[in-house]
Amino acid sequence: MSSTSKIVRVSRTSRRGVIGPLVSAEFRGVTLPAIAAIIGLAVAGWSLFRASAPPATSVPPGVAALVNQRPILTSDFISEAETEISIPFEQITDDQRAKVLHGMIDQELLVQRALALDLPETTIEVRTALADGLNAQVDAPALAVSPTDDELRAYYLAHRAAYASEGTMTVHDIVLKVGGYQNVDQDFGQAEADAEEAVYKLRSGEALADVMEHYGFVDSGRVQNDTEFDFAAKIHLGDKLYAVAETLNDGDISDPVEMDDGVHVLIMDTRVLPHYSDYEAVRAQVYNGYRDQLRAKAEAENLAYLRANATILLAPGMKE
Amino acid sequence: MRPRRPGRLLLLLAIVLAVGGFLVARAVTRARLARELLTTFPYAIDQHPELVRYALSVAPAIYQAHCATCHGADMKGETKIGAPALIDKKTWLYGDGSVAEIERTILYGIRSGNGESHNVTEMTAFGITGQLTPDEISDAVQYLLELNSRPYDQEAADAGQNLFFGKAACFDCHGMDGRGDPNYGAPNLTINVWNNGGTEQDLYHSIYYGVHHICPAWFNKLTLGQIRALAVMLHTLSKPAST
Repeated sequence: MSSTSKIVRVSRTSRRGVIGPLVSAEFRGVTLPAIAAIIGLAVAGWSLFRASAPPATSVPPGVAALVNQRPILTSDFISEAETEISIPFEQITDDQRAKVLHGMIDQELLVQRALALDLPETTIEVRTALADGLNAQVDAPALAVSPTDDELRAYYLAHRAAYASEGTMTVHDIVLKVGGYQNVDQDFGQAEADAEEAVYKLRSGEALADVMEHYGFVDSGRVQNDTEFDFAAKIHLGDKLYAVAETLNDGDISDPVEMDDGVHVLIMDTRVLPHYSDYEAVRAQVYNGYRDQLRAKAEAENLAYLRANATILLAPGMKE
Repeated sequence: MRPRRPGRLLLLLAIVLAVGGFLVARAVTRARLARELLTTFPYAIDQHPELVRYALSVAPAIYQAHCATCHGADMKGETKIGAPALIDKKTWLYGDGSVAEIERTILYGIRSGNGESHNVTEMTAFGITGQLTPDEISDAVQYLLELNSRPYDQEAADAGQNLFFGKAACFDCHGMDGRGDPNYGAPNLTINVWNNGGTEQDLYHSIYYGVHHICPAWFNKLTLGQIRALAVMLHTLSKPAST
């Protein structure tokens, strides 16, 4: 019989002799699972409440320094040193390198502190810089594409107004007021009929003042009766009246225009139309406009994606 | 007669141990090299042939997976998308082809939108913006041909030279001698190496539409070790044979 088999037998005997009597069927059925559960809970509790993993005590390869576990890349350090000292890195002295790294660590500490203070949430400059930085990354692929001549010309035609000088107009806006004003009893039908007569007389050459007095027109007060840029006239007249005004030429009288406050008539003294710049003359601006459009499209798509994946709750009564 | 099993088992065990030992030693060595590749300053890597050999052993697979799409499996570039050849030091747009410069370009890219990327300049689109007429661009092309000792029209080249130093101000980026400026990614225009094609038509196209291709930033997409290995490989393969 070999010595190995002896040892095995002795071992079995030993286990049976020492442990066997202690582990009864009842013990195995209830107590052992309970002990296992307690040990499991203890381990889980220890894992849950113990301190987080100890901080790294060595710097990973490729990293010049770890600042609160945040790396400063060696590549960034070399680049910063060469930028600051303006000579190749291998010629920069140890003292100069140390000074550069010191500055980078200082900056990293300030950045970390800024994040701890939640500056992105509270400081408008930081928020703007973050948003701009992200947009720059979103824009980059779009801006790598060159438009063709046809694409650029199509863009120009679709946005001609952006490449036009502003037109001007000197226009009078008179109104036959209806309801609640001096012609309180006059309804829109009557006012419309009177206005059509007035327009006929004005177009026949009758003096504006006489016609206004005869029919009870008043100056609407919307425009200055002086030369205005088109954009200003549009603001003052409102979209509906401006749409009529921009079709008039020098000396034209508009048809009556029904508005909430009465029936208006526009008298155009002088009209200088916008001058649309020739495509060849504004190619550079069109090119920039085209690229701005690409940029805006890329940013809008990115925001649409972000919104689709965000949870946004608005307080009652809030709109966006 | 009993078979000599213990002998065979010992032989097998010895083989397993030898192979295992070799593999473990190899893994330990490569782990050490990977670490040293990153901890050695880029400018000093050339002085460590084993680090260069290590980089050359791991970088090709990384290149094929991430770079070959644009720069080509043979690293000769693709003029249609302005991806430069990477096997010729003369073609480096940014920097001098050092490991550190290449590494920086891989890390942060070119016009990638990353704040650290090479974002300063792009080649102006002289034609489509109307800054130069088609005839003027043709003249500029003739001047480029002259700079590269290729057949050219003298009269047009003279006009192109005037544009180079005058209206178009090409010298501002490409230098008075046309040899470019690696600080701005302005290529050398005198060595007949063209990232966007070198035919007269290609040159006309580059001046007319400008050049604003991008190289993505690989920071956080590749590991620092992978980027360093790539940089060492590209630096090594693009070095002139004499250096």
